[in-house]
Amino acid sequence: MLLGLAPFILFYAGSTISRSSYNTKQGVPLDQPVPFSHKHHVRELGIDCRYCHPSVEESGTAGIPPTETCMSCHSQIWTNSPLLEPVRTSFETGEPIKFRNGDKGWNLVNKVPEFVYFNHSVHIDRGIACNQCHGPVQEMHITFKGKPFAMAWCLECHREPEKFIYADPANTDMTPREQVFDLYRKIQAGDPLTAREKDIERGGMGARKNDEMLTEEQLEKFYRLKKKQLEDCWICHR
Amino acid sequence: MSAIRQKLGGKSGSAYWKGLEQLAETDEFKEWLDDEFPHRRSIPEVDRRSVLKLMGASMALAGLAGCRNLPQEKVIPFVRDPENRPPGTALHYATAMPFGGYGFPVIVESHEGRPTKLDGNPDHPASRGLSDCFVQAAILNMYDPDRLGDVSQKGLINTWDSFFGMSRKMLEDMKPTGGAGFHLLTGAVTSPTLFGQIQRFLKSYPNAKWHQYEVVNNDHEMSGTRMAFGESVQPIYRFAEARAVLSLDGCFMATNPHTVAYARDFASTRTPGQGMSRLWAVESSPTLTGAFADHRVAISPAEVLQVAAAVAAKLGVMVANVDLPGGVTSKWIDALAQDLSRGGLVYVGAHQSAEVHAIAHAINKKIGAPVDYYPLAERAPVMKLDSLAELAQALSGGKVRTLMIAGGNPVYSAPGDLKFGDFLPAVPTSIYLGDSANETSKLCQWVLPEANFLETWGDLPTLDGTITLQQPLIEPLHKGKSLLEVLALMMKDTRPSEEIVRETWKSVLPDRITWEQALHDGFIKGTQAQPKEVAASLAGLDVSPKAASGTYAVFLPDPTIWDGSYANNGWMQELPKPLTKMTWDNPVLISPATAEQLGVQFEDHVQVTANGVTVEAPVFVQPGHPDNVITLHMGGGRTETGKVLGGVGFDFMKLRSTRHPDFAVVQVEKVKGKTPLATAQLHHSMEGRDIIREGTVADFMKDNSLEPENLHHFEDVTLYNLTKEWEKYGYPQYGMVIDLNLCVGCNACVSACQSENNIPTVGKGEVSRGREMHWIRVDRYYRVKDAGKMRDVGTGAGSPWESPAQSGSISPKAAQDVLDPNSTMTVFQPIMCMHCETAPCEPVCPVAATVHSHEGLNQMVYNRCVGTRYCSNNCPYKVRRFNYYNYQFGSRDQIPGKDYGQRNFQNEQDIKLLRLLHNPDVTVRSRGVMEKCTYCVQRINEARIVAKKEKREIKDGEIVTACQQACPTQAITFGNLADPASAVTRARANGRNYGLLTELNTRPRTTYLGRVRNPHPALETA
Repeated sequence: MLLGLAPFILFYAGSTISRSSYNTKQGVPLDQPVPFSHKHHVRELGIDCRYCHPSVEESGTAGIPPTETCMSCHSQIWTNSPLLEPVRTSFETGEPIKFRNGDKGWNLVNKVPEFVYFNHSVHIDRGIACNQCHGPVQEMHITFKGKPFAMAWCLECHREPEKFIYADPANTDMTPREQVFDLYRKIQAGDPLTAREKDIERGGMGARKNDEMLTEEQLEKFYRLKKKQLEDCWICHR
Repeated sequence: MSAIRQKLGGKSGSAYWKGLEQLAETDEFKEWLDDEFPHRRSIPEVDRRSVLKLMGASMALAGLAGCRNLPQEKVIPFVRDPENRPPGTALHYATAMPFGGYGFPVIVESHEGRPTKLDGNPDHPASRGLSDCFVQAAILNMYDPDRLGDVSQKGLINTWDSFFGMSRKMLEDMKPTGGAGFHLLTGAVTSPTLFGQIQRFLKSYPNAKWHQYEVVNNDHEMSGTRMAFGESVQPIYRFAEARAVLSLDGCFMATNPHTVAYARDFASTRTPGQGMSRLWAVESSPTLTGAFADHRVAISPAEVLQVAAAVAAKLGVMVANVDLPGGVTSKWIDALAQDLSRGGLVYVGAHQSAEVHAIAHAINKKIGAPVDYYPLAERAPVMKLDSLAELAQALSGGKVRTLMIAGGNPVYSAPGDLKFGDFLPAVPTSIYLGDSANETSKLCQWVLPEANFLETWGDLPTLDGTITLQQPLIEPLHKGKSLLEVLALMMKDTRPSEEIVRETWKSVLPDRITWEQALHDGFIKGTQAQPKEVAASLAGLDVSPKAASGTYAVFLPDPTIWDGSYANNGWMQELPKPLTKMTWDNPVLISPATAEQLGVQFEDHVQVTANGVTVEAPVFVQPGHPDNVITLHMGGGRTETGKVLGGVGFDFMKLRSTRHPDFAVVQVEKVKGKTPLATAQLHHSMEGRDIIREGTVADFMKDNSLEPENLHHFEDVTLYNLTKEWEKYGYPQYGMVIDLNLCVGCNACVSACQSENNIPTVGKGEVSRGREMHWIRVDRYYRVKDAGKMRDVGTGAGSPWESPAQSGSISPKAAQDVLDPNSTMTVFQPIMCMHCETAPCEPVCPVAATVHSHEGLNQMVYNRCVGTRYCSNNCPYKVRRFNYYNYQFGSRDQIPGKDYGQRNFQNEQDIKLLRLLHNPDVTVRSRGVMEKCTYCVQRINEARIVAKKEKREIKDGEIVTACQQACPTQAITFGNLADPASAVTRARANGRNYGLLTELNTRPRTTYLGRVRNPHPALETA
């Protein structure tokens, strides 16, 4: 009896492990050359995401800020902080930021598999907020992966975009893109948030209730989004 | 051959055939037709238990392979971000690619600072955005890991500093003698800046000598124009205005520096209907122009003069009484002359004699042909062969103290009687500046790495003199320098080369703004030369036939590796040559009748002797080849090359002599021996009828259709219906139309696809197993000229499944005509994935790795593919390609057989370098995965994202596939079939439109427009 169940138990254990944060690295902060705090810069100082990730609206990748971006402020403030030593060294020597052991660059936190061609700009443009994929970035002291980045997780939204798109078609003053960045303004300014916005702020998916669900016509008209097409393999893989 | 004839006796076969093997229905052909994966081994006999055990084990292992922690990746930011370059987006720059001394205007796609793809410059009249396979494959030359990496002296690594130290001291010592004994050998110099540098050098050292040599040169063109006009000029033909074209042994569609513009212009006159132009070809070796021609005769190269003289006499240009060669009747000449006099032009191949050129120019003048005569774009025009012979003479006389060779490979490419290599080692100081180690660099003391054209500054004119600017896209990968830089530094001019080039154009582009605008455009506007007025006279021209009897050999540049300069380029080696579909080799081409006479077959060795040199090589029997003539393609058989090549091919260069560099009488004998050759001509053969539709223009105009008269129409019955979905949400539905009437078979599409889609090369051994990976192939079909009516499906054609390969039958007479070179007609047909609406590949996939998208694309999902190959087996078009091994660079797979190719790059450094070449928008496929044409889905996705962000629909013509972008005749149309106004929908409405194998109800998204020939009414039907 027990022997008969063994393959099933093994299978269950295996799939549980592969979905756990042990494998996906979700929620695991990584060591970095500088203990950069998104909480301090975004929540406390109110710096816009695009100050450091400027290509997020125009290109597939959001980009990692160059040393120069850090130095635009840190040549004036915290100029003697020992924590910023790697930044200053990089700016002086012209070499990329390094770990104390000499390894170049930052540890990559969020990564889609090689076979996935993810495009930031179009997601922002459709009105998907940063936190929906990256978790509560404005609360992170050391950056960690907010979501598992597994295909099943991507498909939750690609199958039911009407449930998860943050931007509201009723708000015709702002394009979906503007609504995304307005959410961060509201969070930083401490403006009142709706229940969905609070969920997104906490790193949830901000799922709409059944009566708030968008219709296919709205998706087509307001977001220029063809729902069925989002499931096509070649939308993300090619 | 007699076997073929025997089998043909009384037999009726397909009207269109791919090779003689098909015509004779040899076992070889049957194997290629019947089996999707020919030459495979059968599964060893095992019992059921072992199969289950193996399956269980492999499944367990497959599962375990996924259980590993991936290494933590690093992301390295810039210190200072470059401006205007968001990461992840491609930038495009204009520059110039040198080819045969002239510039070709290109646009380079650059990803994060690494150039990945070349295309024509759309603003430049010499390209208009189009290109050819040489342009497409040039990018691989830059990343070639075998390029020279270091300065070396006598085989030991040295530095640029010590070279300049040595050379400056040497020049200092030469001052008193005025540089006597210094010889400089370059290619044809057209660049004004480089010419200025050389002039400066020669001014300081007046006794130094400068020689120019190109293997494929314009010697005969220059002396031909001098004969006709009294001065050497550069004719440029306005094909768009010609109503009839006579090509005398020349291929203006593939082997001219202006070829891309010519092909486009000529294609624009080929719209079927009233006023369609007519192409006449007289040729000594089958070419693309001949294949495209409405009337073609194949004759010996020495007889071309007679035809030219006969036409000239008929048109009253000269008095000549010549015998016409076999195959050319006086009726033919009359019809031709009549056509030419109504607005035609005559084009002559560069390798034809000066007399033929002179006669052609006189005819063109007489009939008022649309030809412009420009001053030569070369700065110091010399006869290239004489110039090299002069150097060889100085070498053998021991008069050369210092020889500096810049580019080229004269030891390999000089005519045999110059014995160039014999005297080179004796020169006290020899310097070679070149991009790769070769036969010449091996004999020189100083070897200097030359920078690639994508790494340097320069200015190169196109044929009409338009200055095309060259700007670097990347720092020199191997610390190379251009000749311009080396000369400047030798003369202690340490300015950056940009400044030296800018100085030349100071008067035209005085400030930074105009200079940058010119760099952006890629060329300097207004630098085109003014056409000259010339008057022709043929006084004193001797046209008495000089044809010696015997077998002639024609020496031509190879259709893919050119004069050997693309020899270490795997893409070019594996690109099937347009007519022979040969890869990796350059056999001797002979006609079926000559093969029979010699008693040789495909792959049998012959021995060719000329000029005291003997070369042994296998033969390729080429239908349509003139009898008693052999074609020898130059560029193969290199002995000192990189890892890709390893001595593949045969060296015919040495059979040439200074007196007969282009064609010569040779002795050909059968000898023992056989070399396996990898030809792709029978690969991926389709079984079915009505694959090619062809007709005459009169035929087409009768009922605006090329449909076979007794074609059985199939009802479009289907349960699969996406129609409602399109209508409601307006999904674009992509489709493609390929106009066979414009396809010249030049291979630009194949090369462009390879570059865009990261397609690997597989090597000679794998090609002969039918495993080439090209997503697009150009099928070449032959037909016997008067094999019944072209639009006849044949008698008793019942169900197509019962009678395969029955698209018309040929008469016994026609079967004999197969061996007549003049009755062979050629048609090209590019084939890639048809994106069938009811794709047969989809239902057979056990893991749903190939499924349909809402835009009508047949998607291939690599990560799902488990490699059953069922899809490929079920594809009637044979367009799916399977990765039997990991064919990409640096594969550790041991592929059986002696092999060549990119895979030979195994060390870490080489692999890293070649990875830079990959298009980052396309997945690099691994072993065990099926792949095929995607309609360039990365470009579709890019356009869709841009359109969405700009809140608009995708415009017609916004998405251009790689093949479509390259095609010099614009035979490919791509777009949205759901849009009634799109170009592709309009093309589909053409009466010539047909789908391949539609009787299978595959509903292909790619369709074809039939081929229309325009034979002269006075001559028999084509």
